[in-house]
Amino acid sequence: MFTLTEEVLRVQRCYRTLLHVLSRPGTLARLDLPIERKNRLVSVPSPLLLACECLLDEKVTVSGLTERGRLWAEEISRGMRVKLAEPEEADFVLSGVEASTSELLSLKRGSLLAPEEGATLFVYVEEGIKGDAGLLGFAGPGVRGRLSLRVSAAVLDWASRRGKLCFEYPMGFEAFLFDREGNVLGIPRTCEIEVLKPRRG
Amino acid sequence: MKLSTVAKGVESSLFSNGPSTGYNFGYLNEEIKREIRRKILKAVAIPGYQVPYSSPEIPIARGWGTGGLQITLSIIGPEERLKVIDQGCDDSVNAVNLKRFISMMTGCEVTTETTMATLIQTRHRVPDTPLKQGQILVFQVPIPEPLREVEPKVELCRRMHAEGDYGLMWVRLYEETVRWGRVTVGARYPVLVHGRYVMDPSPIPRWDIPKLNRNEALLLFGAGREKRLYAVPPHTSVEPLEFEDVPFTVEDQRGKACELCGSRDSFLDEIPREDGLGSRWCCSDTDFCSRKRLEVSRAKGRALILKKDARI
Amino acid sequence: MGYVAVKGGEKAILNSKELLVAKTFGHESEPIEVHQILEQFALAVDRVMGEGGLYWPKLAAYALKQALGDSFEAAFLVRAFRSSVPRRGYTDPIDTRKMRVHRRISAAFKDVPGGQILGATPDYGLRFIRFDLFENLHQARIRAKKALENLARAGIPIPDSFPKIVDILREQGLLVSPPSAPRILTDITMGTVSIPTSRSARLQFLARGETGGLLALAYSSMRGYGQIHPAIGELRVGDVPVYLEGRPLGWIRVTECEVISRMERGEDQDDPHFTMGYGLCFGQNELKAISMAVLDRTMQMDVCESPAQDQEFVLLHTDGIEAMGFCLHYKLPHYVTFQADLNQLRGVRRQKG
Repeated sequence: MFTLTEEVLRVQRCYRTLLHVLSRPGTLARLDLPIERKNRLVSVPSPLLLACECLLDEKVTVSGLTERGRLWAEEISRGMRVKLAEPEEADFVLSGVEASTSELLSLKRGSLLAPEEGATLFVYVEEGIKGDAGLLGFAGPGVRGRLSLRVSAAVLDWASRRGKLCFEYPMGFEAFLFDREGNVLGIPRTCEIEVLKPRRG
Repeated sequence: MKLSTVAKGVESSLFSNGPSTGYNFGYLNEEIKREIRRKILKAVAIPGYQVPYSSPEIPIARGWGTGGLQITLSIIGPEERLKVIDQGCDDSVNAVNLKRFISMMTGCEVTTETTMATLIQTRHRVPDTPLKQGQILVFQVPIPEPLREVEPKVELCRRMHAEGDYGLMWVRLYEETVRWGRVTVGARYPVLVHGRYVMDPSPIPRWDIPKLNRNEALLLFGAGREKRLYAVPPHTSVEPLEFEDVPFTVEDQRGKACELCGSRDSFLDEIPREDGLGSRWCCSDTDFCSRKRLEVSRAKGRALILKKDARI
Repeated sequence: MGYVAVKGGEKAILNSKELLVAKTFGHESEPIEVHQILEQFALAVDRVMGEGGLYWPKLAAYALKQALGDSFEAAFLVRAFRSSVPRRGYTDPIDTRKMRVHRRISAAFKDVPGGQILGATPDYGLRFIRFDLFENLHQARIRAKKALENLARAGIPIPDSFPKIVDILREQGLLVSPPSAPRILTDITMGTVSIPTSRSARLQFLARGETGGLLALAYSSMRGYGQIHPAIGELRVGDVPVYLEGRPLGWIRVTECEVISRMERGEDQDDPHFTMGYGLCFGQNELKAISMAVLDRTMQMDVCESPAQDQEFVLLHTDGIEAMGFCLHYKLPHYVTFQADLNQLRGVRRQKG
């Protein structure tokens, strides 16, 4: 009746993980990363590559923030035939965790008539998402009451920059944070993130 | 390659192997799934907002659940435990047809038990058994637009949602209270999601409206014919539109209980008696009912054992 | 008698399906072959291809047979099949000037360069059922074949191509020129469409539209609800070559109609000119092509006083598969929503009483 390839299965599982974390901000989940890597697109970190294979195609555009992000975006564009665009216009944006506030500010937020056109940001956190640098608080749709997560310094910094952005709901953009092991955190525009307790000052 | 040659090739492949070989897992091709997957993520990020999507053709007629089906097929995995209900019933016409199609195209397990299901597709009811974290409820929606009755034009409705201008809707509800003393909308009662978008919850009875509020499960809504999908993440506020002095109420089932299991906490179907003297009442949710009956008979069994023990 | 929760729904459905298969394939009479449907129900096949949105006459023939002649059901089968095949690309635009014409008429002019080619059409005959021909089909077939041979021998060979009437009108500046802006190809099956939409999208909707639905709305315009005073500039039925990136793929049959409509004054021009409505569909389906052209024009009108001028009304209500699905869905159980309404009705009554 039907054929189920490894690739189709991998991408379906990846999607369910992304859907799960975006519906429940503050929940950390783990992607099933493939053991073998294809030879192409070697510079793109595994979790980002998987997420791109899951969601990107010729119908959307991709861009990069930070030098690494731009490199990854170019590779994705070449290897997956996704159109490259400027960060202000792109549907999907790949980024290192060091992206500045002004870079984050440049992303598409959609409009009142089409809020769904807001961008989706994939952020790669080399040092890992979980850590001892401090406590990140989550509230809003998908969170029962309030939730907190112990995170690394890089995530804390990123989150404080993201937390300062003032979205005029329904406009905004979505972010997924990935680390080397495939852990992923989903932050929809409706999520209120707060740095609760930084370890130092 | 000539069209005629291609056609002959396709035709012979259709006949030698039968019409359903070589379908992609979940029937839809990956391109279509990707589009729907992207749109679902945005829908989850903007609770209650109708995201337009291309809604491709599938071999099930429009109006018979194509939207819900497209969502289910885009997200389902081979290890899913699928439940499909129509009017609360696993065995209903629409549910059976959809269930067979989905399992045919995925090989997934099917179940009638709400507690065992990982993915539930439903038409016109929310299960009476409370849902758990990790479960996904996919609603089949005939008309996604809650403002349709007050404004038939799609573009004008879009603008109203964009501006959060729901004045016309409130006027309509007010007119109802003036005319009837209450809002007489039975099913498809309009709700406000995350304090921003007025949403059509699909033709579920009022009984089910309170269940939507801060539900543990992820709620996805698909309107295939109208080409819109929307979502409510878990733990999100869903409030029926009501007036301070004319509050929202669910169906009045006072004095009624399910004839089979005795439940007073579930939505009841009315079945007129043959003799014309009134009606009988039974749980609309067949799984809820059978579990209740099992509980009841177990309790009876325990009572018997206790009695026996007491006598010894 | 105790009420039992309906468990038997599944069995009933399976039985119903088996009964349908029996009715469709287990009939008393000799099975009709697909090639017979292709030839002897050619116009039904053409209609189904157009509404299904897939040019494959044989598939449409299978669909018609399986649907027991129901064109809605058959178009649905074709549409569903279409969605299951992968999309490879888009052909080059068809040039109907290259058409191998079967019929070509103009109502706007008495005679036109190339001539009025009537072809085979019931347009001029009296609507009698030809029982005489039915009485002896075998004889009728032989006679008809002979008549065709005679006609072919006696007739003048028709030219390879015919100039388009609209080109002639344009050369004389009497018809508005086509827009010079780059063509936007909107594929309505691949993305979301918001209304008002591009002409490209509107024409696609119409091309896949259900013939009866389109006719009803076009008829409303002809009768006065959004009148465009149409005249058929040209109606063509014939085979056109199809190319993919310059490579020839084969031929398809289409019907094309250009309707000349009321005059308008252009923004930058002083002299008024005629405007045009365009219709093109698969196979031979003149009703549809004419209706398409009329509606193409009515939807371009600035005012929106009647349904035919309202893009949303026309485009959202003429897709046969969607309309049929929703109409028939009312047969599904609706007892929960009905129960909810009953409850409200009783509630209001109680309040009063």
